[in-house]
Amino acid sequence: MTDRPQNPFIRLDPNDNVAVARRQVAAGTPAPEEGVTAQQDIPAGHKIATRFIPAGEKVLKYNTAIGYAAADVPPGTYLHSHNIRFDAVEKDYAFSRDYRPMDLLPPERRAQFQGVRRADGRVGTRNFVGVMALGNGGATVARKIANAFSADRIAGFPNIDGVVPYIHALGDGMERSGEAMALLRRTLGGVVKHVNTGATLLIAVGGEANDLEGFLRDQGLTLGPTLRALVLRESGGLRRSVEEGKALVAEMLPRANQATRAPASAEHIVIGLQCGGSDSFSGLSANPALGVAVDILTRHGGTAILSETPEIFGAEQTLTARAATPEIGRKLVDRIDWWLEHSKGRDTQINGVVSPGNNAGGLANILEKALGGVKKGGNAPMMEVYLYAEPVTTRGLVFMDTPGYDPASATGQIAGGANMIAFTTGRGSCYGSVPAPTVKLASNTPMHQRMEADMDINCGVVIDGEASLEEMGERIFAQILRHASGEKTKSELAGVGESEFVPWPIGKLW
Amino acid sequence: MILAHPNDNVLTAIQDLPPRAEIESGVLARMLIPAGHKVARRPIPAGAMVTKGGAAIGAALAAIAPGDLVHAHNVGSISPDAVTPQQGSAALRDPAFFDGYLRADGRVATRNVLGVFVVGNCAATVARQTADWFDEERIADFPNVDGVAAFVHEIGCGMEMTGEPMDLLRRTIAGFIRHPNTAGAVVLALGCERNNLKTFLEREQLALGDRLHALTMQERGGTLRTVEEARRLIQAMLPEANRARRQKLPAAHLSVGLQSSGADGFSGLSANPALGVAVDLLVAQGGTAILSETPELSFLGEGLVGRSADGATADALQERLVWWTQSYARGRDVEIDGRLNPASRAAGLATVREKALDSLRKAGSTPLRAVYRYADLVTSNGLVFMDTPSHDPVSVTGQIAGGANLIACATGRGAFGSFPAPTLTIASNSAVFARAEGDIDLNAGAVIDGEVSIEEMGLRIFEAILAHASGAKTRSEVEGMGEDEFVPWPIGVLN
Repeated sequence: MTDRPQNPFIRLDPNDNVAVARRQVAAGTPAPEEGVTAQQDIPAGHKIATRFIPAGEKVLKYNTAIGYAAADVPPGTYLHSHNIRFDAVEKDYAFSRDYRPMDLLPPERRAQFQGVRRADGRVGTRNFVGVMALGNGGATVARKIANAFSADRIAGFPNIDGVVPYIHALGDGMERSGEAMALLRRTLGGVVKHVNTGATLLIAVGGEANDLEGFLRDQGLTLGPTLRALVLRESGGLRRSVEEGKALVAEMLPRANQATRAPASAEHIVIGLQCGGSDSFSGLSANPALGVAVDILTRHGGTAILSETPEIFGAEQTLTARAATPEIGRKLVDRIDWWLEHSKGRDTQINGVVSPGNNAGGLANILEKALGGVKKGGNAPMMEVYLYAEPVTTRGLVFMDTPGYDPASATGQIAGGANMIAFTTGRGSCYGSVPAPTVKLASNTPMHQRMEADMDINCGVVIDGEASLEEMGERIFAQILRHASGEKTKSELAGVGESEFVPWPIGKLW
Repeated sequence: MILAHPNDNVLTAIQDLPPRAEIESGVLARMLIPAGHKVARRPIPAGAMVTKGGAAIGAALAAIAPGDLVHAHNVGSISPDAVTPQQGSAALRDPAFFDGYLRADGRVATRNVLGVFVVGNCAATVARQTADWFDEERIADFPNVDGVAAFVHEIGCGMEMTGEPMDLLRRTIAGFIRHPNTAGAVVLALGCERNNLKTFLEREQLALGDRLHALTMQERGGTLRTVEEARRLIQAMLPEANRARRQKLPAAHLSVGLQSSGADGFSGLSANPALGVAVDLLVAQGGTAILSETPELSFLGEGLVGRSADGATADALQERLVWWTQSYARGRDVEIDGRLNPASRAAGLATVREKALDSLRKAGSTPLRAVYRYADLVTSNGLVFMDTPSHDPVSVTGQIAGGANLIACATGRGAFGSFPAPTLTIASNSAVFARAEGDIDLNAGAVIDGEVSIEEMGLRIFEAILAHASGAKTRSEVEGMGEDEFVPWPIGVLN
């Protein structure tokens, strides 16, 4: 891959027969690295044919067919929806056809980070104490209790990263059984059991649909020294409840503070992959560069969770083909089918076409757009498919079914065990999360400069021709190790994350 | 024991009654009757109606003997029919007044708050960091400003781009921005939300100006810079907001959202009927009361629809009941399926119909004048209906978006709070009131305890409404409850 500044094009895969213009390229501009000269004006983010493509042959981007040439395409031709036929692309799930076992590094060669060691052998990236409302009725009390433990109030507990509230709109006035309640309980339980959670105080009103006893039973949790509960109906008024809650949290702090950092293998990193506020550069820089980092991480024994099912729709066959088993591939197809049913008659992307904005940005069809998102997951085999907030127990690249909506998606990944979130953005998302921190990757340099206080990594240098995707991927991996070791991310410094805890409201409120 | 209506065939136990306790002259309890539960005072043959408060709450599943516990095990549901109307017993009084803020456009406020809003969750942290900055100390120089509050929610992006879910969210946020209690507002956007800021402002006809500002984080350079700028804008609005002064105004300007929370076996005998008396008084003054919580009341069917003042209102109400039962909640494990939730059952309620009848008592005795969709601006006076879920925060949010400038909540649970319109809570029994240790404003348990009549309690509630509308802080306001209870109804499908 050659990415010297003078090359006006970005090559996304050595096998591709197209490259993407970094900037507006005028007709007649030579691209020596690609051995072609632009035959027409090519807008930024749009594609050029890098060799002769006969009519009917696959157009390959990310080494994946995004359609077929509508006519013979000479080298240097501008390629877009006018000469790429999409309707002929048959969705071939090719379950496990391309599966190759991962080339894992031996344990002694795996990268290390300073992880938070738990007594049960798990390794986390942060150490938070949570105050969690089982239903919205406990929200105010939970927030007041958590807010009482400001940074200076917990200064005596240097191993604790903070006391945070987990507040949401659900828990009461919702379906009492079925997936809506099961999902909420998995999500809350997942955060309680999270490797980054040192202790939790549960807040129940008493009498809510998500009742304390049922929640504990469902999640296999037992109250103890690092899991306490406060039932407001029993504790009295708001003030007394807040005081009692503060006392319970204070009691748990010394024990939560016992967790210390020690060198640990990168195999303990579980990273949730996110994209939000994407632009036409996201699929060219931040997403494929993150994909390279994910390939590195999984070779080091780590785990990455790809999600946002409605947004990968159209490119799911690239995952099913590298599923470890056909059964795992079929699980993904089942989730896609569920979404198509769930979204019936709704004005949502899964039912639609590429938006005019995306098309103008160079994306010829929904497959090409979806591919740009899926590239965050790199090229590793897909080892498992999980339901929203289900505990992730398999290493390597896995898929978790979540909405595309960022806070709901990342909340599910964290509940499933992600101890880091890597979030690519083109327009500039300011997302943050607890108890797993979010690292944000900008797709372009102008946005990175504009929003530097929110962006951790600038992948725009790939667009600028200053780094290849491989180089960028290595930088991302190195920075992920630093943040996993405790270096604060921009969103942590800005205090973003508490208001972004959003369990997927999948059911009906009444 | 409480006899709600002379013709009733059941009594409600005020406290736990052991077996063989005398419940009425000559009638002994045949088993333990827990507090808040019902006991038969006459033989009720299988299939006969069980009547409480003068209305049938269900049919006896088997023959019930005097002294038997009458509860979910021996009371079955019956098809909805006309509800025996309550009697409007409270006498009309002299014109009532309160001290409110008269806004330039003629609308009347009960509080004077500056709000920080978000079009989507992506701006939530910025909104909170902006509003939280203005603690009591920082607004001490502006004594007429009741606070700066963040109105943060979980949706706004990743949702259906068009249709009712988006329309509903926009009307809810806009309803709060336009609310007379909102003296000024800053609206925050990340910049790429589906609930696009510009479209939101245009659709809701909100004009930016001295009292309404908008900031886009992607244009401002991110979280911290937007927080700074939003704080500056709020700071700049404080002096003007502080110029507002209360003046004596007719009670006709009050719009009270009615709520039931944590209903128990006492609610229908104390807090709800007493609130109903207050509502009748308010309506007689030309004020507005908003009845909601459609799923809870849906079991009354014609008994609810029959309260409509005219055919158009009845049709609109009927349409909402059909939507809830046949479409929205169909096949879902929610109370609308006819199964009472375990908490209500444990608190003494036998059937969903009993709970619904109890709940309807808080609406008083006047007819329903109009029906509104969730968060629609309420323009009619008198008793009106707004379609909302029963879930307290969602229901209250819709009522306030519709213009309610006070919420009155009958509770068997505990405090509830809201901004920018405060919530007055009324306990259904003395035990709940005592347990809440001062979080609840009024104790209608005094009715159960035999200390006051329902009418007298209703008068007290009406007086409390006037006092709190005039600025006296409710208990939940003092405790700072209300920001986390802003929950626009997430009616759609996230994707």
